[in-house]
Amino acid sequence: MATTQSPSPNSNDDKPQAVSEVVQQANQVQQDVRPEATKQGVPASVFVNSEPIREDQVSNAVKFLSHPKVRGSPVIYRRSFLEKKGLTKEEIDEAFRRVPDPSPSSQPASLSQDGQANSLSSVQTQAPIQTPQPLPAAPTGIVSSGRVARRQFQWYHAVSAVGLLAASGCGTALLIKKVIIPKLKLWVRKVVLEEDNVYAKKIDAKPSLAEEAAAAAKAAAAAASDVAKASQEMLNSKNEERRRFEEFMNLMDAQVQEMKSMSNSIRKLEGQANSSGRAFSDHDDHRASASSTKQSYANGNVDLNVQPGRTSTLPASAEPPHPKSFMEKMEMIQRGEKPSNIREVNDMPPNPNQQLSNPRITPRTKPWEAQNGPRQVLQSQTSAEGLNQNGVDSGLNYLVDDESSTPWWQRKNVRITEIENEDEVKAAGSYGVKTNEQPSVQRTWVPPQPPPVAMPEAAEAIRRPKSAPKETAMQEQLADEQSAARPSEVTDELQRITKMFSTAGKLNKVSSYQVALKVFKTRDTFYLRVRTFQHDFVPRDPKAKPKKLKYPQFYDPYGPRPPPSDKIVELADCISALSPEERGQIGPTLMERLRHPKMQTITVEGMELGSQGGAGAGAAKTEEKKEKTTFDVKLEKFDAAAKIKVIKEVRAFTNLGLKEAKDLVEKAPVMLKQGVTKEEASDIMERIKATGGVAVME
Amino acid sequence: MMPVFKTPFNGYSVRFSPFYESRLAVATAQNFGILGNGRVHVIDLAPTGPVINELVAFDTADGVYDVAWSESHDSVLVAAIADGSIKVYDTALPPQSNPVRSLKEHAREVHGLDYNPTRRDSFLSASWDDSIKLWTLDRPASLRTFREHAYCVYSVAWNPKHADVFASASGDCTVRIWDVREPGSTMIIPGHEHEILSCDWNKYDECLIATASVDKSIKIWDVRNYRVPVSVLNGHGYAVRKIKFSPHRRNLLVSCSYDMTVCLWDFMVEDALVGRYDHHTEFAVGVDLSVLVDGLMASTGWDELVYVWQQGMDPRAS
Repeated sequence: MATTQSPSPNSNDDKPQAVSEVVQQANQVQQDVRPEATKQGVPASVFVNSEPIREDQVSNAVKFLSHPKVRGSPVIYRRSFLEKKGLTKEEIDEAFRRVPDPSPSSQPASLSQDGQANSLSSVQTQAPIQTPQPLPAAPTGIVSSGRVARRQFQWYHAVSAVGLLAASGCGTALLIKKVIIPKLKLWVRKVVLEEDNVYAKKIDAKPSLAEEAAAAAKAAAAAASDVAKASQEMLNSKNEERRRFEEFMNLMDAQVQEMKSMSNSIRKLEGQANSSGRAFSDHDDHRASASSTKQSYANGNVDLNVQPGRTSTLPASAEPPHPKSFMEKMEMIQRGEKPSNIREVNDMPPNPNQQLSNPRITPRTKPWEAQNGPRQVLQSQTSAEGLNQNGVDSGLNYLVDDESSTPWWQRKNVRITEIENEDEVKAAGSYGVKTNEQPSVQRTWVPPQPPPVAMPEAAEAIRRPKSAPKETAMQEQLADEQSAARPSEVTDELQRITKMFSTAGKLNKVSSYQVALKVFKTRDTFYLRVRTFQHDFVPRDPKAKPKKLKYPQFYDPYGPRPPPSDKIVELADCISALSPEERGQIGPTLMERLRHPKMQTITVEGMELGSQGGAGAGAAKTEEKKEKTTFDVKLEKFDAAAKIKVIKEVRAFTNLGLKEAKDLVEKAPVMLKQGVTKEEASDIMERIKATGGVAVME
Repeated sequence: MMPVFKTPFNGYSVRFSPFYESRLAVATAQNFGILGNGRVHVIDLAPTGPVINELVAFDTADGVYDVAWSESHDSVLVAAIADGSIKVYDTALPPQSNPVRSLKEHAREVHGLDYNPTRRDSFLSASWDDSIKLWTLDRPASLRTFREHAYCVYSVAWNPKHADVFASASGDCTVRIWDVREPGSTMIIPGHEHEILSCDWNKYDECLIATASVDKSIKIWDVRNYRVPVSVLNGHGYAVRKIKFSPHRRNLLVSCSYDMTVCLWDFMVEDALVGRYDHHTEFAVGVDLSVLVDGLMASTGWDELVYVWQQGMDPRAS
């Protein structure tokens, strides 16, 4: 919290610092224990703060909280300010603990505020607070000085303070009444007397009762005459405080400025006279209404009675143009008129004890739960005829007539549509005779339909009485299968599945349907995820900036560019030699590596096609290329310090994205660019050399 | 052709039902929600054509700011009302018997609702009285009150994996993570410099949370390292009002904003903006993705229209 910083050391700060130093040692041990305690208390929960307390932040917070102006504000805003600065709860609590007790001043507002800050008040200050009269200055000074001296003597000082109050009560009653009315003067006196007491503390090692009584009487007697002096000193201290808390106040001022300029812009936009308060003053408004004293540090400039918060606050420059009718309504309401279209509606429940109707459908597992593994879904009660009854609901009958058997909103583009249809139809068929044993994944709205003839093996397999091991084992197998799935190999996979079914143990019909559905779902979602980022079916906004294609030249096997380098060709040969299952594993593995799905799909397909067609041609072409006038540029090595510059250069002439360029450079020695003329190649080499790398032309 | 549903009042929120693929609930408020009545519509997508039918509508005395479907009862939904109450409706009962409950405990407007998707028995309400309350349908009083924010709480979201953890976004510019077993918040993320209007968890990575703010940006945070955001998504012209992570795709999230557009983002990609729909002619304030149908989304705005469309298609196509 360096922002609220650099108070010039003065008497006001000495006391809190001295306090904090004294207390700090005492707290050191506690502080060490506390983080451990919290960690043990909440084992392995990711959602809990596990950072240790940062001492610098805490000390900044203490300085912030010690400021008298801050003291006057509600605790919730102090906490909120510190939270916004990034302090954790523990740090904020620690700061509140360390800040010396605020003087129990005579204002009822700050009394209630002190009540809120329970961590602030210590025992002995509560004793004076509880007395009906607000305290005069003397017991304040004594109490705080007593607390500073030694904690263990607090009770003695508390007792002495109470005794002094009783003794000087009648004498100071009049004086106090004079003081109550000018609240400001009292606050200042507190400030002034704190300074006095700092010196008093230093002089008196252990003030005796007699001394305290004398001091109390003196201070009480001098209270009335100090009023004029205090107001003058108040002005001086005010200047000091303003210097110290410049940034803090600027923050508030900046907000106010924004609000003002926003109001101006609104006026300009809508040309209306009285639209100032509504849309922007929520922050200040709320605080202004909450804090009752002038000491609130939010300069609530606009005072409105309309409920704040109904429109969200906005930075001044970015106020969205509210609809004209919105502004009209706002104006009307601010003037106190009610719009004419409101009617009296009685929306109270006619029978507050009305029973909710029984749920007719069991909750379905969420898609993210299904993917992460089968979960124990809470079974809410289902009525016995849960499946059949769904025909009653009008929302479920639609599938009967549609020839494609899915509603319009389920039709997706291209292949995804077809796959989805197939799945649902298959699922429909499999659910035709479902029992209620495993209702966790129900598509209860799908009426029974015969599966298409194209999948005879699946239908055959499902209809056969099956046996299987526990479903979890099946799930694992399915997970393996999932990675091997390919869009063009549905039948292969189904054959695999039927084999699995036949070799498995006992499985009743229901589980096999479950398994079948899960297979389709998982396979479906797997390559749906692969396909999701194909942008051919997402309509791009024509006004948006054109997408920068990031495919490096040498990944593109199609002409007219030169063919891939030897390494790529070899890779492609290896891949084409793989079995189908392994080929299917390339996709996800690469996706993990590259984290760039767009590139990955193209790459896989490109390599597929390129390897078969171009394996032979590629070899020939590279030879040809070497003889001709095209050259390759290879990055040999680079200066580690200049890595970033080299990456920038590489990006510049290969059009790669940042991550790809970084990977490429790190793989040095690596081919940078192929098929360039000698001049271009040498130019590239020069540029790389200039940045600190070494490039070779070949 | 994508259907449109016209509401008589300005739209505030739209939610898909977790039980019926074709069903949605829409929360609307008269006079832009400043003052006036409200209405909850339960609408249904007709299977044959691009038509939306209204199944039932419930009138309320004050504007409805949010609506949430129950995860345990297929016909029950809860509505957040601007007078501080929460109304429970049951569409299986005749309209005269509705609302079934009126839960009035908040002192100010209730702005956000979220139903627990894992435990399915409880829901949270976020209110402008700086507090969040935990409710169940069977009790007339709230179970817990979480009062720590310093300003209006705009939105709450349950963690999709941990049934006891939720996050709240507030106008005091912080997001707090809570655990219902703990008395107070467990984490405070000072995410933005301006009010945070919405937050949502990633359904596939339970440590990622996204926040949308008045400063036009959406930030993705990892709660294990919350000092620096994982990703910042810029692109909206004005405040971002609501965000939602896709229940089907790991990296996809949708957002709607006062710049009248609904945007799709993939935050793992460098050029994160994947799609943009500018079908609304006023502030777009509500957006939702269907849990049951992959790619189906709906949005509503102050232009009193509700659009339902499939990702990849133009919502105004005809």
